Amino acid sequence: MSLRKILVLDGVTAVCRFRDDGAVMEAQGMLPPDLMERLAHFAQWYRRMVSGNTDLLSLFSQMRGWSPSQGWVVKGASMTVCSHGNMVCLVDNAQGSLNEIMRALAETAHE
Amino acid sequence: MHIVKQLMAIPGVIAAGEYAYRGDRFSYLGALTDEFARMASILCRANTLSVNMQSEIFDSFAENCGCRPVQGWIARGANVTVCAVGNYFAFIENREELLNDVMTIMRAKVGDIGDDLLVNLYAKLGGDTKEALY
Amino acid sequence: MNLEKMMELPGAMAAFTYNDRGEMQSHVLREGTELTPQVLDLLTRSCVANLAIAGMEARGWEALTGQVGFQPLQGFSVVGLEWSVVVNGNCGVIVKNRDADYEAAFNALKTA
Repeated sequence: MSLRKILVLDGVTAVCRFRDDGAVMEAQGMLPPDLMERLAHFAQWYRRMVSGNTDLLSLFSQMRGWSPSQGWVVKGASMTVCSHGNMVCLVDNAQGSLNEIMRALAETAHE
Repeated sequence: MHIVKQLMAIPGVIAAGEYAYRGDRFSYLGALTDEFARMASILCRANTLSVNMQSEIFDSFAENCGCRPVQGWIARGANVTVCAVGNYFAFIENREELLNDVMTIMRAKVGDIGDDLLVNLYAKLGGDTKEALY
Repeated sequence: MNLEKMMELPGAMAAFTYNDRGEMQSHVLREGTELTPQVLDLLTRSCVANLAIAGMEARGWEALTGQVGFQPLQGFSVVGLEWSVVVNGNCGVIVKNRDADYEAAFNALKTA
């Protein structure tokens, strides 16, 4: 699935695939290039942090199924930023279906 | 292991070691079991990643404010303190002046931590920075 | 909370308090420092996060290993390139790394 197929989903304003060092691999949407770079960078650090904290939860709870973490969602007042694997996207809350978008991100991340 | 041995020579240092970025490769000396050392590695990795992300956020709002790159962190417990500089960690007792001594030695011996945490941690362990993380 | 007292710590550049949500409540800045109230307000939010995570680690570690000595947590510090922030409870201090006395800072925060 190309990034464009995610971008056409309702509510998605920008989508990006990033590398392990936080650099942009591919990007689509209504964000200027410098903001897209920031988004990719932020998403990669957030992924690492969530991954670290999920490992801790998994370790201390001794519960299977948490680690390795797959993604994260931060829902704001009118915008949501969500990520799966090395994909991240910005969503307008009023228009988007988070389930559909997360499913599409997961499919694309595994390509 | 040189730094770790030096740290272990200080009275009051319970354990010291090196953790890998992924938390699954590590070396240590002191009063930890293999399993506890693995847990300590995962814990250190999580904290290091958290504080590094925070420093990136500060830096994007207040450039060159002096927080980046992060050199380490300290978690102060009731009787035990965990401190980490770069990819080295130490569990120490809360004895007078010990924390300052350990931090001074760690900062001096490990040296300034560079901007790229990944490259830095891997370089010290001879790993490959291109290795997939997940 | 006596922030002026915290500013007497070696190398202190700023002292601050914050509520449980991480919102800054009060602060003192050393004259001439590059730090701003805006940066401090960001920092206080991360302080709450770091203390919460460290609390989870202390609890988890003691429960799983049977080793005690971490709880109750007495603080957390991030060592930056030029300065360190040392926090505990709802109060924190930023000190220059060159002059940092971590123990004095933790002790001051314990009694604060």
